Amino acid sequence: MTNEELKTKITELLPAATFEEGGEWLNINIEPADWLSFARQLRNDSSLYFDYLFCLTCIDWKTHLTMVYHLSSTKYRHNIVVKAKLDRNKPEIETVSHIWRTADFHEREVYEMFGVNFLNHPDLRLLILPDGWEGKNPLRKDFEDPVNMIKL
Amino acid sequence: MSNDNKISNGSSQIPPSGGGGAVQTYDLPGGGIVLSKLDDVINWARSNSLWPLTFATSCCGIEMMATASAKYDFSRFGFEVARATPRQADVIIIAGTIVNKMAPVLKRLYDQMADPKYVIAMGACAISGGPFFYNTYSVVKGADHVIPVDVYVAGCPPRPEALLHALISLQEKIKMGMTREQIKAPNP
Amino acid sequence: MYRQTEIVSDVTQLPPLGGGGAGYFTINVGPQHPATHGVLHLVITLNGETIINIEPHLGYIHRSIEKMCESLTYRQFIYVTSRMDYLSAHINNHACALCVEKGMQIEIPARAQVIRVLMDELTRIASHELWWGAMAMDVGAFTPFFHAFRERETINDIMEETCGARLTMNYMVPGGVMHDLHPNFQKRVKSFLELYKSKVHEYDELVTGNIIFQNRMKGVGVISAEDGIRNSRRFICKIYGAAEGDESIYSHYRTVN
Ligand code: SF4
Repeated sequence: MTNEELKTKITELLPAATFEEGGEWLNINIEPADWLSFARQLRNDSSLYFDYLFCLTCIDWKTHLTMVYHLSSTKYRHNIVVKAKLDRNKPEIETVSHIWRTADFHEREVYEMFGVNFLNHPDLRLLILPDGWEGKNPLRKDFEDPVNMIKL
Repeated sequence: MSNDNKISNGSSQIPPSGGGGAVQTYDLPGGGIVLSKLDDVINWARSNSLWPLTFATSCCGIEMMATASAKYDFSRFGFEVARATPRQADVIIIAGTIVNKMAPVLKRLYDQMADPKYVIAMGACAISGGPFFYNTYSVVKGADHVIPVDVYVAGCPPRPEALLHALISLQEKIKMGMTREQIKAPNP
Repeated sequence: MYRQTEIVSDVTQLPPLGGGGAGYFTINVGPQHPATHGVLHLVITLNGETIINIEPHLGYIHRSIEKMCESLTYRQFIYVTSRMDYLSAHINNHACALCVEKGMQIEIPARAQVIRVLMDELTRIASHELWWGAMAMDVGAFTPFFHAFRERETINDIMEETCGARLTMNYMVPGGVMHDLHPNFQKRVKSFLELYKSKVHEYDELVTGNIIFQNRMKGVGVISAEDGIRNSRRFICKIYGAAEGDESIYSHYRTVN
């Protein structure tokens, strides 16, 4: 599907979604509360069939956090980017690890790096950082570590 | 045994005299014998059979593999085979970045090695954190914060020739009786 | 005969890790282990020789590159990308440079594009050389490693002439490449290709045609196309062409062999 067709289709599924254009892929902004049902639709709808989550990350804008999901369909070869704005003080979003297995580890990584809490995640633990780092989120812009970090 | 030994200095020196004592060769009927301090002999033997531990954490490890491969071939100098277990290794070549999570593992590997043990820090990362010195929260700024190091090789990554040079320097150091362990050991 | 790997898709059916349920055996592999080629820590649950669950622990080489890059310019960042996947430094540089170029909407000269692709492909060969050499070493054959490195060194020499480094090249920058190719480049690549072609049958005899190797590898670690996509193993799917249709990797794999 082209970006235009995708846009029409997605507006049907989720009227609250807003779009950003200009990039190569269609960007969709959604509310975190809509994400789980929307993700299911994206995965299961026979004309969309986004079966491949190839990137899951988060951005710290200092005022808020944004979850970014890059989805692709191996059948129809179309891609979209889904973005959800989270509250920086209490970031929470539903996990999609049961829809796309790969999200399991990506979410653990985002959890430790940005402190986003993935609701209903089966195994939300530190993945990369050593034990004892719970609560310190290195990729937040205001992260300080006077012991290990030498600032330039 | 005849008593008329002639003393000649400097011929057929085994082991090569370093900082150790003078080596003396005595010509005897039936062949010469070599007199030297036992320490020198032991050091000479040790220095020519150093087995490295395969401890490659990142990019420098690839150059270490290249040094082990046919073109550079560190077996020529007595680094016969890379061992996978610290209990069989004599020298640990720290090839790559050491991060905070890895540091306890490195310490443990070092502790598991049998004495005498030697350490080579290969590459900028193992020397000081190298490219990952500033603004990182996870890199150890130099492997010598964790375990003592005998020889440092600069480079990012060092060329295989540089690693060979480091290995040979380590051998020389051992032959001279000047490694950390040997200086530290109480003199008999 | 090799034993078919039994894949347990539902991990929740397994006894808890470390619990040592009936017949299960839990071992630690890594982080310093010759077969992990780098630092990976795996907690493996075994049933006999069959792996039924793996719990990976990562981060033994987490260098916090993302944090560093918050304070680097794009041009400076190139040097760090070389060290991310050091076996394909060019390709990492390329990705980073492309990203900046795309963002700035600039098109680089055709010659630079060609040079980039040539370099990428050479790195890819070099990287695969290391892969199969080390892979054969892991299943117990040491000789292929030397053969693989022989060709790898030839590529490294070519790289060194043009880029000035053997491993971390930093050759591609946003806007093109650092400097032109070395005058010898063409000649050396051509002679390398000839040499390489003449060696491929040797590799086949030594490794892929080797009955011991085949018996050890066949049927090990088979992943269905569905699982591959779900778990984001794009690379594997690409190799076996499974992502193109619904045919399973396994059947494809069987026809290959
Ligand atoms: S010194 Fe350079 S090449 Fe070696 S591990 Fe560090 S970054 Fe990699």
